[in-house]
Amino acid sequence: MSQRITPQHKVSEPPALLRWWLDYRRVMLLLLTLFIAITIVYPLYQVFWRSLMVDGEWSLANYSAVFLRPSNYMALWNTLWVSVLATGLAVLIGTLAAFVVQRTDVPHKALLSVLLVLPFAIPPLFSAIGWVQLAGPVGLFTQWWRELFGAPPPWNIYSPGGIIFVLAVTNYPFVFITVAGALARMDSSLEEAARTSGVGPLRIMKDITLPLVRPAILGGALLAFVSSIDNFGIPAVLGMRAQFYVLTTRIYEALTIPNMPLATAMSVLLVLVAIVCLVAFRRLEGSRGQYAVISGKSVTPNVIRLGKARPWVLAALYLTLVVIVLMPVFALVLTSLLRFWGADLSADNFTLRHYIAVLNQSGARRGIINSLILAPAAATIIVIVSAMIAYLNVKARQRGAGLLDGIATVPFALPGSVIGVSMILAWSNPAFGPTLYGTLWILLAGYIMRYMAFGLQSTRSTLQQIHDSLEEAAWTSGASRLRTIRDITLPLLRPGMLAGWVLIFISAFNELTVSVLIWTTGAETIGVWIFLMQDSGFTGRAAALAVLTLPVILLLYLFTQWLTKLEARRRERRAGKPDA
Amino acid sequence: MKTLTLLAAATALSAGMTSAAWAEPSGTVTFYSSMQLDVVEPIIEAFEERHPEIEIDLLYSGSVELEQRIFSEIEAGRLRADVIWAANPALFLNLKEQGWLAAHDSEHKHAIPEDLRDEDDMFFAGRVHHMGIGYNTNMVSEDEVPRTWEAFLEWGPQAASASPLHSGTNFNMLGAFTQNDELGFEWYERAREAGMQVVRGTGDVTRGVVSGEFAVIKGIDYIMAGQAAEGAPVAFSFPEDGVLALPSPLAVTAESENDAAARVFLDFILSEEGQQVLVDKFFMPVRTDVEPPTGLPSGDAINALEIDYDWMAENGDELRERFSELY
Repeated sequence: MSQRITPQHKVSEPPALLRWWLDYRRVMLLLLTLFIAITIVYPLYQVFWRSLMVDGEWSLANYSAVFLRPSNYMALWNTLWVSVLATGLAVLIGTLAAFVVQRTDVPHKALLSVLLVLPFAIPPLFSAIGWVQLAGPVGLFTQWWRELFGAPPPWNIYSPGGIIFVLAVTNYPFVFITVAGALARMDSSLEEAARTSGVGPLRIMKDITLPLVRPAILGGALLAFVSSIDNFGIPAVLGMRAQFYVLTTRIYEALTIPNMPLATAMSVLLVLVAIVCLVAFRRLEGSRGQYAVISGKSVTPNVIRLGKARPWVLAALYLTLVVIVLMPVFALVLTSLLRFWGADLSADNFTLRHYIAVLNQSGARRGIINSLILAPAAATIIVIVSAMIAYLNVKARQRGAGLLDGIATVPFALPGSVIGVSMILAWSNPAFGPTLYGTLWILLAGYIMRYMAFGLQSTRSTLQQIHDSLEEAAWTSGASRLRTIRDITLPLLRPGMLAGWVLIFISAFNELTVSVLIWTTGAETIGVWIFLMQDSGFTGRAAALAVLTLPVILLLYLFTQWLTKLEARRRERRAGKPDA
Repeated sequence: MKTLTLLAAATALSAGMTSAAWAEPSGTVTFYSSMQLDVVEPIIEAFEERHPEIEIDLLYSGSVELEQRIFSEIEAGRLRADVIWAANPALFLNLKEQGWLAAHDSEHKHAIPEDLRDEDDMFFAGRVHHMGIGYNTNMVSEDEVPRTWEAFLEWGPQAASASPLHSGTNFNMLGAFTQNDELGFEWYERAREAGMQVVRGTGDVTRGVVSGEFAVIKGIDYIMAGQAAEGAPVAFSFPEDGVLALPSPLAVTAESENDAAARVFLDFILSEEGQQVLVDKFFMPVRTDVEPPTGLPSGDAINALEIDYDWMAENGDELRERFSELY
């Protein structure tokens, strides 16, 4: 199925040009390797060799301290089962939501899509605190439950179950975004064929649609899983009280000592888990061969009419959204308006002073501007670079590109603080090149390292969905490789690049754990400032700043929705014209 | 070095007077601090008003993140900070030992008790904070306020502490308790039996006691006072069998690029004017000639637990290990 067509291609090209092409790809690979080496390998190397040193001598002591301690395996086991269950729940929520929004005639689709990605806009620091505020021992839900039933509620947020739930409702947008994207650009001729042969809509879903979007589900699940294993805030706030430890909370202990080499050695354990999972996911993805998911024919999605069930489905969806999305946002807004955290909800306890205070701080204002520069810059660079790597890897099948892809994915499994430290080690007193530390550039470098995986994941899975037959058709009609890329591959890849761009933008916009170690005066970010406010005890100001960022994220999402629609319309128009 | 110090002291005294222009310290001082912003910012403001030619570039950070940053910078071979002010004395002992601090013969040193400064003038306490008992005034009536750490445990699961594994102040508290014959590490074992909750950081215990999730906590004096000033139903008490009095050291770094200005700034924080700013923010002053904040007992009326930082440095790992096995 994945036979290469290049032999035919070779024949039709003069040998001189052929050599030029081969060189062209090799030059591209060389440049990309250089980029990855500087932005990822060099900083990683800076932390890792230090984890192999004890008192100035080579030693495996840090590793034996990590690998020989039973409590670390307990933490590893906890990390694994909690993340697996949380990912399962996230996949369930994300996939169901994507199907309902994309494939049924449920109304308010635009609004629903926006609400469904909203959890991404809440700073990670607040998702756990917000849930404590809602479902903790003195939280709002708990109080309501007591008033209604006169008994303590059946849940306990400070438990593994609480961690799983909060991780799932924080991470399901990964699945929603990737699956909704895949459904939107999927060729539905197979579904149509089944329908005309009299197959029912549920069986079509199960036997045709679901297998076709499986790569997208797996891709989203992978991101959700890795986000779960490297999440620190949620298990720290919810797990410690139940004496429930995971790897990241153990790593944080090593960081407080501070024993960076030990923390690095422990992070290696985390990276190993991530790599094993990555390979397992690739296996699952790879065995499917190549589906003609995007084959260039016009797209008319198969829409299920809900009929009488429509209001019920809509009500269920909204209820879920209110509980898992709007209530945490509400808790955040409430915190930003209350005089102090935990104050009674009486009129004289409401105030705007946190907003005024925070906007009067020049650092916070600079933080907003810097994040507005850094997030799109990082997103753009990553998406371009990762599209090139994915192209070399998936389409040009250039040797070495797969390895590059793998290396660039590793930092995603590293705790942010390890990346932060690696940035200082690499760029505060560098052996070559400029001193980035103390400038905005080091933040950009940190974000590129941290979020490369997002770009690679979304461009890779999109390219895999594009069948080779399209490019082959272009070549056989005499188009050059460059022209093929420009006219065929790039337009089809664009939605995937856009999805990756949005994912990176939103994550980088609120980024905290890397930034907090490498920011300096003049190079503040929103995430840092939210954290500093929170850490200084100004929970209200921190919440106010977080609320101020919500519209940015929402506007961005609406903008991309609009772009996608524009693109679809353009494609329709082009498909409508006979020889365009 | 010595002349430089004298020069700095002289210019600090004659600020405003026109001394030789070339000798006037000026430029930017990079200042690393883990002191809360509402404490540091007024000090910087007051300083810059006094010394308009010197600009303070503040890098505020939580104590854990600040230490990580400092150690990473040292590892990379260059410390950016000119002046450091952080909450953990062990950090400064460590920096001193590695030669990253500069001695400073401050004009203010005689106003500061000996146990609040380094014997080699390498660092001085810039403030002192106490860990005692914080409580929710809606849940704990006046006569129920625990007077001892034993009485604290009677609150069972409504009592809470931040984890010594994640909070520096609590780590020192663990050390002070362990070194104390009466309390000992056994206090934590009894706490475990009594059901005391251990949560992550200082922020978590504070939020818990403010919202009424906890009745009593191991709290920090100025945080409780600050929350109370905001209107939260909390108060602080000094238990009779001892509180932790933790100095937050302040130092000039050895490789400072603006040494003279850094010293002027350090002296300002130790001056009566600088200390008064702290007192206004509910901190105990380090100077004997500045009155403590209203409502707080004076320094010598507080029963502070003894703590040996060298012992802490030596036995820290073991202590952490022991605690993590318990909780």
